[in-house]
Amino acid sequence: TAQAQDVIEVHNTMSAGGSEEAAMLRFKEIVEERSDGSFEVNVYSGGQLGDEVEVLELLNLGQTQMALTGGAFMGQYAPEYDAVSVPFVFPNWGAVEHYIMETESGQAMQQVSRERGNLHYIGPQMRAFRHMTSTPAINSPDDLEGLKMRLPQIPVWVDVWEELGVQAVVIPAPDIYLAMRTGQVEAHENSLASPYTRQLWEVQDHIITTSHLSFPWHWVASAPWWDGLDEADQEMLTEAVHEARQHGYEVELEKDEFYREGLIENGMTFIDVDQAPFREKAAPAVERALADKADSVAADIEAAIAATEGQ
Amino acid sequence: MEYLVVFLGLMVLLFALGVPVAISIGLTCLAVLAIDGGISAIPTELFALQMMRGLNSFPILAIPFFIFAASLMNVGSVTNRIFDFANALVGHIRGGLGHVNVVASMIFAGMSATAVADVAGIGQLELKAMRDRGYPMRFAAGITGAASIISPVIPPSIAMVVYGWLSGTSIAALFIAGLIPGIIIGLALMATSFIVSFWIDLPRSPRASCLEIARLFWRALPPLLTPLIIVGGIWSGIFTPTEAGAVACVYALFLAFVVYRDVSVRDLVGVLERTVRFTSVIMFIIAIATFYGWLLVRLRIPQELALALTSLDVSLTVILFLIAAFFLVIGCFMSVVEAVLIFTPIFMLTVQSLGIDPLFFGVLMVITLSVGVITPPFGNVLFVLVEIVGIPFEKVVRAVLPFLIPIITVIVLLILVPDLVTWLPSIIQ
Amino acid sequence: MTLERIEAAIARVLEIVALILMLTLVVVIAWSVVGRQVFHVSVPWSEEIGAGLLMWMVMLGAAATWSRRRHITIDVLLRRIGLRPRYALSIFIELASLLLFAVAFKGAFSMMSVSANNSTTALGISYSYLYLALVIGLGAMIIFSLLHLGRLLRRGPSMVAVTETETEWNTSSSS
Ligand code: NA
Ligand code: NA
Repeated sequence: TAQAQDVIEVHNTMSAGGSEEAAMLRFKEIVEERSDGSFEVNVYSGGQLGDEVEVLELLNLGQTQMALTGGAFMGQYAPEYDAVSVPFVFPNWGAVEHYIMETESGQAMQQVSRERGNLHYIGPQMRAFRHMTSTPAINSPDDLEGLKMRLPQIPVWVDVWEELGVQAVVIPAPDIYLAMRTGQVEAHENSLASPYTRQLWEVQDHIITTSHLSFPWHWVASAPWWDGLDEADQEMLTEAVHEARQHGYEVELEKDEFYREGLIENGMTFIDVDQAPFREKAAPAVERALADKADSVAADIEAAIAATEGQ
Repeated sequence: MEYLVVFLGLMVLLFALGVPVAISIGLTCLAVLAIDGGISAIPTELFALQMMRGLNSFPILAIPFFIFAASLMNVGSVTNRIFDFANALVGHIRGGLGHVNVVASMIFAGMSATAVADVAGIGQLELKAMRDRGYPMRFAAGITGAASIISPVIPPSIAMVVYGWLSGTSIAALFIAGLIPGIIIGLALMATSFIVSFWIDLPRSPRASCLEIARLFWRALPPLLTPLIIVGGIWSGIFTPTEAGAVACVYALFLAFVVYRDVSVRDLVGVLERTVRFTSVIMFIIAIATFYGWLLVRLRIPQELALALTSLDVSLTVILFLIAAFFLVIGCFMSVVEAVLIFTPIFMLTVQSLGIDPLFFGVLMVITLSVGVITPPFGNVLFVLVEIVGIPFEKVVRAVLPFLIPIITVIVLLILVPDLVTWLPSIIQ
Repeated sequence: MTLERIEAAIARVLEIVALILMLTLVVVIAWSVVGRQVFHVSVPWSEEIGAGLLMWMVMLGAAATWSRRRHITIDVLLRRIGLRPRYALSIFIELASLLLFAVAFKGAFSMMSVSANNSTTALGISYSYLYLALVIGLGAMIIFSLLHLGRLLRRGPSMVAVTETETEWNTSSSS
């Protein structure tokens, strides 16, 4: 068993109140209960002790214990196995989870992250699928031509969306509302939490359900710290993470539905597009992105999709 | 909470011993870590990581830009042009050059991001004009010092950049939130000049004709556009505050080398040298204070403070008065940026849990701490005044103190009517 | 004397590089605004370049300023006490600074390899190049502090008056 009152810090960059915090709090509850108080879990939401990259460095150094981190670590440590950051690849959450947890490529990603970044990988946590919001109505990829669209500073995303015809504008997230109000951008993409919390109905009319990506969170631990724990604790923590992930999944689904209703109530129009033409037009950029990956990746994507068909 | 005693106590002790501010903050961090886990537990990599986090930052880049732009304007004829225009506009009103002093500082505040840039720049000019017209030095030094506080309130503002960066508040919104409070402080100081003129003889300038005002306006127009470019560009979303700083630099270079041609290359190098020295000294403190703020959060001091303050059984207004009084005291002992660096991480959780608008809190924090530049023992503006005016420190202090009355009145007003701060940014947000 | 000249030369070189970086920053960021607003090309790397160059400028500038003894100090006490205690205090301050620089330097040096696999999002530049700025800046500060300490010990209390902190509006204050 652990020595008395070992502190486990868990970090996440989202502000409190979302499915991320809910999952971390569930983790805290489980661990403190099952360890009879020998572990104390401190939850840091909103990047209180550092943004994504800084927390990765803290984990690398063994200066903190755990994080519910975003996708940056795969880009940093295991870009050759990172298929889950490419838009229009996985059709549902089950396929993403299967790819990471069950395939050779997913295992390799976890292994390389440990070697290059001292990360012990535990499991992905679902984030609602991303859609786009837009001032003009978008019914097919042809309507995207020349549209000024805000995108985060992620090269693959910019490439895919430019292939679809938009004019990418890279601006920081806090400025999205202002940029739409002043007409600097006419569209952006994110999960529904973004237009809801930013009250984008004041500046946008449409939500186009492109469902192009579920960009997951990942439960990771600092390998030097993890390896120093005894096996029973490792098992208990792993189990706690899986239960917390499941709880986060449920909360995220509830929230997504809540946002959808809220957005409709506030006058936004949902356009349920056929995803196929978007996927088709984006294909060259998606292929470019996947061409750089390891040999196993293409087959493993197919296997993951096949294994979860019908979900 | 016992850590807080070390955090603040040791740091203040080192400050007082004359250890450079950056070193004092850093040594305090090392001491806290050593108390926590022994000397061997000091994680050197963590220190470097936090320094990097403080330095590798785009929002903070606004600091050298605004310092550079204001220094360049101080070297050329820009400050003269602004002063002459302000004089034609309000010099004839009862209170005379007192009003001119305040109005010129309000205009200059739209280009300068620190109080010290105001006294050392346009302040010198105002003091000379007041001396030439036989104004009592006590009044002249007092109003010049007091009016310098407008600079960090009206955008651009270094203190607000640092607060916005640390608290995750939009710097653009903070800048716009500072406009109305800055103007109110200016009006309060003008009212003070008006009232004082019934006791002391304050000579007025002759009333300028409309033609003369128009001529001086035209002469001052290019520099008068600077605040419009900065605020207008940020307001309309054309550029971010950092980019606004770069644009202000280009515009200042344009005025100096194309429009007026009154700045030599040698002057430019001097301005660059001052900018680099000032920026690196300030940002070296920022780098080390980043570690300090991080340790505070990790030792859960802000969390405990938030818990303590939210469980107080008093109204929000009372808590805000307490916080304002606290910052007024702190401002006497620490410079504005240092205090913002140290107290933003401590107070942010409290602000969130009490539901205080972070914009309002930022403006309140910057104004209350800025008062410290004109209070003893460490008021930076006082030191500059001693050098420019050439009278002893104690006399400068006595000259400036009465002007605290209108400023503190404004602070009370802002706490009672927070809409004065939050209304303007709410129009665009 | 020659040692002092070498120190001054190093400080000057660091400062000149910092000046050039400052001008570069103005050009890069102004260009990114013009590029976006006028030519409709987004310059996604401007933030990374801006933040990275700023870090270099600050560390080189801070080292040069350390050599000139112009870091912000509250010297109310120093101005009021006798030469002997001031001398003792000066030695203490120099040793304390050296301790801090050494800790940060060691950490920065180690981070250069620890962080080699971390890279920036847009340009993929390794963080090692950012930590290098800390290594060089702090390294120079350590050298300057050792030289100053040597001078203090060699020349005794008379040295204190020579190196009294100057207050200058543009370096002594931040508000
Ligand atoms: Na003034
Ligand atoms: Na200002």
